[in-house]
Amino acid sequence: MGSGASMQSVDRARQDIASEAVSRPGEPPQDRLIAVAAGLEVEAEVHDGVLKEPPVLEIDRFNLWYGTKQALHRITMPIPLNKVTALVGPSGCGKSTLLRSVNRLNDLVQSVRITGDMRLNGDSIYDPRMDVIELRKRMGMVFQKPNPFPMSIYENVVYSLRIDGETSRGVLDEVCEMSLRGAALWDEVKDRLQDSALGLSGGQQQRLCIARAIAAEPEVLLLDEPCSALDPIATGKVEDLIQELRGRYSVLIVTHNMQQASRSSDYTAFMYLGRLIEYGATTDIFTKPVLRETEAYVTGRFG
Amino acid sequence: MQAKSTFTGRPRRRATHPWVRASDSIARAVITLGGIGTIVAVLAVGVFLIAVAAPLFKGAFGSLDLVSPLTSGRTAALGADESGAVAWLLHGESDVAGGITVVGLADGQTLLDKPASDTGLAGSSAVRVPPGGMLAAVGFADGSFRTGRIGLDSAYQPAEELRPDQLPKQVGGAVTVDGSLVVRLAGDRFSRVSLITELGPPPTLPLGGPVIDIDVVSLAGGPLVAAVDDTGRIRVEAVTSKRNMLTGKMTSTPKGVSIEPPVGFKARFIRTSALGDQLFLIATSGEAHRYLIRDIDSPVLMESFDAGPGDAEVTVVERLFGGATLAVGDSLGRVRIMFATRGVSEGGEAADVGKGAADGLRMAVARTFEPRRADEAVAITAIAASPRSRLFAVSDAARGVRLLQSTAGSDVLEPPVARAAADAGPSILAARLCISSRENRLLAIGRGSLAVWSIDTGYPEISARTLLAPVWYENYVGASHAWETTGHEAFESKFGLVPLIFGTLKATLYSMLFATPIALLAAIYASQFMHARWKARIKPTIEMMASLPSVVLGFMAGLVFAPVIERSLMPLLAGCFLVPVVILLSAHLWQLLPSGWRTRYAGWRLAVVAFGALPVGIALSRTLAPAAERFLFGGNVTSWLDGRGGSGFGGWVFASLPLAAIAATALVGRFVNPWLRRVSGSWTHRRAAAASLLVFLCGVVATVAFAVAVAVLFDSLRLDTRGGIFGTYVQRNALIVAIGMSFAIIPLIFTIADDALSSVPEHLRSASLGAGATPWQTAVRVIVPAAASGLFSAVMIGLGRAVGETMIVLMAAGNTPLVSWNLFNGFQTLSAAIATELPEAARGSAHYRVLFLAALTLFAITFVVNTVAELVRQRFRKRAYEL
Ligand SMILES: Nc1ncnc2c1ncn2[C@@H]1O[C@H](COP(=O)(O)OP(=O)(O)OP(=O)(O)O)[C@@H](O)[C@H]1O
Ligand SMILES: [Mg+2]
Repeated sequence: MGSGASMQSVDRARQDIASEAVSRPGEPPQDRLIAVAAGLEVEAEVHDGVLKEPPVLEIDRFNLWYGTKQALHRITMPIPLNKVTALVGPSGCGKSTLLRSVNRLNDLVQSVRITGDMRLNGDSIYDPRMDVIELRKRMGMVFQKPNPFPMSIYENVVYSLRIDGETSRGVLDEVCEMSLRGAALWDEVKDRLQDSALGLSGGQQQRLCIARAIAAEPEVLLLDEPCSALDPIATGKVEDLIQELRGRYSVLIVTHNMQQASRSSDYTAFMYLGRLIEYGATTDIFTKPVLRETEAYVTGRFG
Repeated sequence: MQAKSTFTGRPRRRATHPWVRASDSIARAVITLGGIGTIVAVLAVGVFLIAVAAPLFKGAFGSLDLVSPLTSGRTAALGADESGAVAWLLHGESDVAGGITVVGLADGQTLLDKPASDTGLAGSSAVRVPPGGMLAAVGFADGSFRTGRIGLDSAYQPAEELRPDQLPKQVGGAVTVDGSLVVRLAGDRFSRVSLITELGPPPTLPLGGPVIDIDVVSLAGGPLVAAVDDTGRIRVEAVTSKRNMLTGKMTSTPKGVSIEPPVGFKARFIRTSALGDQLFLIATSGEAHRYLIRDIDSPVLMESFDAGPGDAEVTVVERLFGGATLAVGDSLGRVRIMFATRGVSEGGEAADVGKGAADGLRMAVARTFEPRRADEAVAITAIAASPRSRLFAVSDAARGVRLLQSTAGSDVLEPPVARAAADAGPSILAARLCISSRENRLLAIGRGSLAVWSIDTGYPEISARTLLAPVWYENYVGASHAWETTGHEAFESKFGLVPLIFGTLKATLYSMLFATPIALLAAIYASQFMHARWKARIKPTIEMMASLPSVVLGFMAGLVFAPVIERSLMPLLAGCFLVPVVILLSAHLWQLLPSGWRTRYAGWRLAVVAFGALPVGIALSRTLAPAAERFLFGGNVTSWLDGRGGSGFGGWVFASLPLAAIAATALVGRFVNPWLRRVSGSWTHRRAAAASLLVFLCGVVATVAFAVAVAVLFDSLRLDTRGGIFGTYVQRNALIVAIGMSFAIIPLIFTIADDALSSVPEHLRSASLGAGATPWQTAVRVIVPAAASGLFSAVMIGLGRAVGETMIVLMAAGNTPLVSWNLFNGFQTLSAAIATELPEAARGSAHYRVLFLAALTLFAITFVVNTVAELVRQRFRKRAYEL
């Protein structure tokens, strides 16, 4: 039959590409990416160093679809405990989607369908018995776009305490100050804590969101390009904050800034079109990556 | 031309196409025109309403037309023809006594003279012709008296039947033709006016001495006449007519009774009520007695009262239009307005003077008109009632003439006594006054002259005070707000706008109290919790509800819901409390389910509430209703509401339940929940859920206990909700209106509120949920505040609809213009009054103009509501900008 024959020929062509495409250093980097683009399964390169770390979060063969369009393909990656893990990859490759999946914010998108699982400290995140609210309380999230609430700066920062029913003024004040200092915003807003947060500049709003996230004392901090709207000085301060958190918190940070990733993260994962391509210690990824494609990306030769 | 580099290979035309420019300017013009047009149209409506209503407040106006000398001495009676062009006067003194002269009011010329020999009034000692008719009663010096007709009879006169020289030249002019008069009316019409003097048969039993005062009213069977002679003896006679059932022939039998007045009492004035059931005897000293003469054979003394307290002597007594009110003038220049009223007076201007009588009525002084000038206490010399309103004219011994309005209590007009400052003035010590039938002429006759004024009284019964302040209307117990416009001519229309404004506010308030929470909660639910697929079906359904014609809703509310709710009032009341409790209980029980079940069936929660908890709650309400009715309302809630039986306890329980619930929720949220959260950190979900169920049950018990405590407290203070928000149950009431109106308002508020809530950016929701807030916390703390301006608009649009809604209140509110917060009785709104009454109000009448004033008030209320709404919304919006 005509159609069956044509299907077979397409499959064969794909296999050909795939067999060529599995590249090692020395081979042309585009091949592996072409294979990914052709929709073929490609094994991720996960360094042994990562696997030895005790994980706080285990992403296990995670697939995600927006309607019929698959946005994440069989992502399997452990996120080490109390380390900073950077997610890099070209725009639209699914970094934000992955981050939002971690605290199940994708539940809000009605077309989303998932398979696979994630485990936070061994608790299955997608277990139907998991209390989403409690889960989210264990993670703080900073979004790609600043999203302060339309209330005062103060109330924004202490929001998580408010929803937990904290009423002690002393506690609230202290948390507010500590968090704002941590987010390098305290000096700029200490005299206008009761003003609307919407009156802040875009960069200030983003730091406010960081303050809001750390005020909740999360186990895992999810940062989605927290510095994309910040000037170099504020960026430096946020990186200082990440340095400070390092060793005490597990941080998963998405960034397009390779210097930032290399400076402030312990591990780096490179994603492409919804797939994990390579994942290892930051020094390895930036100095001696296993895959050519990774090297090309982190050195800015493509992407 | 130099080749330009392009991305797409298609060079872009940079000049704007003329068409685009043209459509831009057309659009701008249309929009500007439309905007200005709208503003102009709204303003025009406002101006039109003001233009129609404004004449209500135009003052009265009077000008002195004529002062004409008279040579005849005392005048016994005075009257005018229907058009106010000619007047007749009955001489009471000298050789012309008993004769009648007709004078033209344009020039004071005598037009007709009818000597006493022709009138049959020779020897008359008291003559009375009540205003507005020709019915007359004449008492004679020999003690006899007669009823009859005296006055000027007007008939249409075709001009063709007369020669040109028989037609008067100017409007208001009169010419004598063949023993009667031709009067020229406005618009080249003429009327034939003839002087009538007819007297009936003598009484069955005359009085002994000269008749000093006499009164007459027309009853169904014939006139009823009451006369008093100089010895104080009283005779009342009436003609009763009977129709023979077989022959259809009428037989009239005169009947009469002599009344022996109390010992030592000598009546100077005798007056009957217009219905002929009351007889008032008043002595100069002010001592007065009221008899019930409904059964003419056996008059009964009802009460004695003081018509002129203090040193003052009663100088004039006149019956005002409507027939139940007496205006009593005294020697100190005061005029007191009195009528018999039921019950104890409260809040009246003066204390009631009667002691209360067997018929349950007592004489009350509704108001007192003080002397014209405070320092000049001179006797009242004459009072004349208007034949068509509660207006009356008063003259005093200081030669002052005034027009007063008895209900409004207002000094309408003091007509000028001189045509110019230089004139000496009419200088009339008026002994007789007359207001013409159309209230266009005022006549005063004194010794030696006749004065004639043209008057325009405007709308003396209407003033800001009568529209807005309580007014003591005839036969009412005290001053009150009233709106009553139907009834026959003698019935006094009551134009108090307060009941209508109150009704409008009551309808709005109760409807909004009922609809707003439901609509807003539904909108929050739909926008935050409901699955998109469900919402896509439910929202259009609810929106369709908004398109139900309000007449259908009114019909449903008034004719379908009202009887059902009346029958099952107690289950409904119980349900108000039990259904929410059962629903909340089901939510708590849900949390006790194994967590696998809970998450698996999360989508079915709404169905469980709708098809499980709701019916259970309703069933529970039905079962518990009789017990609750026994316990709270002494067994029957309707008679409890009527004020029969039971203590105030039950009402307070119901009234304080919502507040108690709010208080309990606040207390639990403030103290118990934080504590619970602290100690339950390590508990299992199930244990925490059980604990919160326990807290909830304790909260319910505390709520009930609190409500009962409040009820016991207030009940022991002898306070009662009956008379406040509860009271007699009427089938069509505020509750029914609230329910009916909610069908119109809820969809409106729901749709706009849902749009506002749904348009809050998704990233705010993500941020809140990402911080670990529950969807409900997210809704309350982030979404609702961010959407506040939209929610407020939604509520205000609902409010605007509720304020102006007509059909629903018309059909479901019972249209009883009461001022009472009682949830269970009816009311009338401005809009309903306008809708029902405007079609039957005579153009230009006070009623018509007051209805326009009501429309203007409604317009103002909506205008204020919308303006305030817009201002508040702007504030909200400023806060929530830049989202
Ligand atoms: N709500 C959604 N519905 C449908 N498709 C979506 C949705 N959100 C994201 N996508 C798609 O999923 C893919 C991954 O998007 P994602 O936002 O995760 O990219 P990203 O890696 O964060 O990119 P960037 O670096 O530009 O932020 C994209 O192709 C995007 O178009
Ligand atoms: Mg992104």
